[in-house]
Amino acid sequence: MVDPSQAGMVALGAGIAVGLAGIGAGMGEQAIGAAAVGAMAEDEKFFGKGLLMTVIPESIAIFGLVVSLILLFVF
Amino acid sequence: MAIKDNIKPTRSELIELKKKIKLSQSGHKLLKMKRDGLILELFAILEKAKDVRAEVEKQFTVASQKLAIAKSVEGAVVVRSTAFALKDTPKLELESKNVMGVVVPKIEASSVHKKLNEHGYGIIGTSSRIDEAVDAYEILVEKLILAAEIETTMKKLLDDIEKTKRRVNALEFKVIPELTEAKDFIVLRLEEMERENTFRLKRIKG
Amino acid sequence: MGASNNVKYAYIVARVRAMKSKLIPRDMYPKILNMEIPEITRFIEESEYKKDVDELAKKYKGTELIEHAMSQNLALTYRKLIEVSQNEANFLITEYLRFWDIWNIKTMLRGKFSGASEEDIVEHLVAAGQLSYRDLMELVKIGTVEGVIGALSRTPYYPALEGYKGDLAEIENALDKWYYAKRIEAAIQTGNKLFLKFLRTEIDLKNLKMLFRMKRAGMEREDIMKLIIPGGMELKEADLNRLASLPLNEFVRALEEFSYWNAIADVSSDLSSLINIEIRLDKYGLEYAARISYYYPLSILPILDYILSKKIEVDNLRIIVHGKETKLPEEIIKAHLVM
Repeated sequence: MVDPSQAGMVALGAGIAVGLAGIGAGMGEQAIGAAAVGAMAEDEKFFGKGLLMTVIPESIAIFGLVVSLILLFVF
Repeated sequence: MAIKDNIKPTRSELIELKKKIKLSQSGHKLLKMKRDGLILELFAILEKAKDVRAEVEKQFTVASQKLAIAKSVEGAVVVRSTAFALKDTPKLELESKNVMGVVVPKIEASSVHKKLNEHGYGIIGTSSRIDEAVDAYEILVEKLILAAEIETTMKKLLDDIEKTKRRVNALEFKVIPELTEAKDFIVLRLEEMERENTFRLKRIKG
Repeated sequence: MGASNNVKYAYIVARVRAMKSKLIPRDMYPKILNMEIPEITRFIEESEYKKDVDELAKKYKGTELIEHAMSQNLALTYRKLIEVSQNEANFLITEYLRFWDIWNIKTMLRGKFSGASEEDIVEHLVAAGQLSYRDLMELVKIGTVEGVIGALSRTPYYPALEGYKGDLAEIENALDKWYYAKRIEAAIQTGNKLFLKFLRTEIDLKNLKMLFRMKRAGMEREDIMKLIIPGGMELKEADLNRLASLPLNEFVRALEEFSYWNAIADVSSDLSSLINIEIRLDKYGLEYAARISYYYPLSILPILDYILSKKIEVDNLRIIVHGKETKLPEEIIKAHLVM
């Protein structure tokens, strides 16, 4: 259903989606991770909370992954 | 004993004694007046001393409380280190004053109570709790100096009253009675001699 | 403030916030106030101060132990802030904590001035600033005020000290002024507006406190203006000049136009003691720090807030312990707590 020449574009789009989402998540995590480490250095109880907070921006990466999967398999 | 034993019963001695008695009596009167005057003075000072002492005690409580506050708020460390800054001690000048022949001290203190910017510590780095403790203690020192002056005066007056009283008593109960006794003795003796003379004259005549 | 700046502060702010959560909560103070000294001692020994108490237990006893443990803890906590922070935060904290250098130099000079013994002086030093313990020990060995000043000639403090002419108060004031000026310079250098704002409010509060003290002592305008710290937020040079020339009661009334008035309005009529006013202004400073650090959560402000809060915690505990020890009435102790 897709033109072979278009397949390349889809793959490119999927790649960009995952990549950008990953960069975005990374930027978000940068601050949160730093903060989590800081809090944890004072009190180990913050490990759980810190980890949870740190992985929240990870969802953006997952969105990127989902979009790329859709791109790859639906179109 | 005493005077009576070693006097010659002569007329000139009698005149001498009479003079002495008169002198002693007027001295006694004067000393008695001095004693009364001193006692009056003492009472006046006693009142003052009582007030000053009460004030010192009150000021001491105030000052130690202020210091306790400064110490607990700023920390003993801060208070002690601030206290390091003060080096010059207040200067005291001693003068003397004469109250009815009693020399009493008059203490003139300078630079006890200082202005805020003369305490020796920086103003920016300290708080008013330190100022208040310092002020309270400066007032206390001033009061103490005053109390010292008044109480020394009182002590000196008391000593002098004691001395005067002893003198008055000695005059009244010892010197004057003895002199009177000696005078009486001489008078007696002279009369006796008179009588003896008369008797002798009569014997010769007869 | 850009995103990258926020990131810079994320680590240290999170850490400081975690440290702040370990401070003694406000509602704990009334409880401590009801305890007896042994209980308070135990409470402090079991709290964050445990390590310091254990360490110093050999040297000191009783309330003196508590006091030294608290001041050591304070110094170590501040040291730690310098050690765990980086870049701009580190720079600003370092500048802020020069307070302890100033403090140590002042103590040293005062000690030398009055001829106190070396041990006596050492006991009062707090090695929390840039001058290390070893530097301080070297300085203590020097015999005279001039010698100490000479030994400090390579430090940044020298400009404030070199004018020493036998009047200690003068260079103490110069040192304090230098400290404020240096921090403003640091704020301008980094372009950190929040730090500057905080600082300028601090200067205002300090100036106000000093004005009250100096006015009450009847000092002249020129003398007052010599001690006033320039660079305040609301109280500008012209305002200060005007305030300094007013008589005491008019001075108090003239304060109504400034925003600090609300903090002191109800205690300003009683000028027999300035302690109430100072406590109110301290409290205002603390609240201000807490408030603006909520507005700018990822900045230098939460750290400054922590520095202040920690200092006040130590002060409060000391007031309670000392007050109890000297049997001050509870109301007086309470009145001096900054809560």
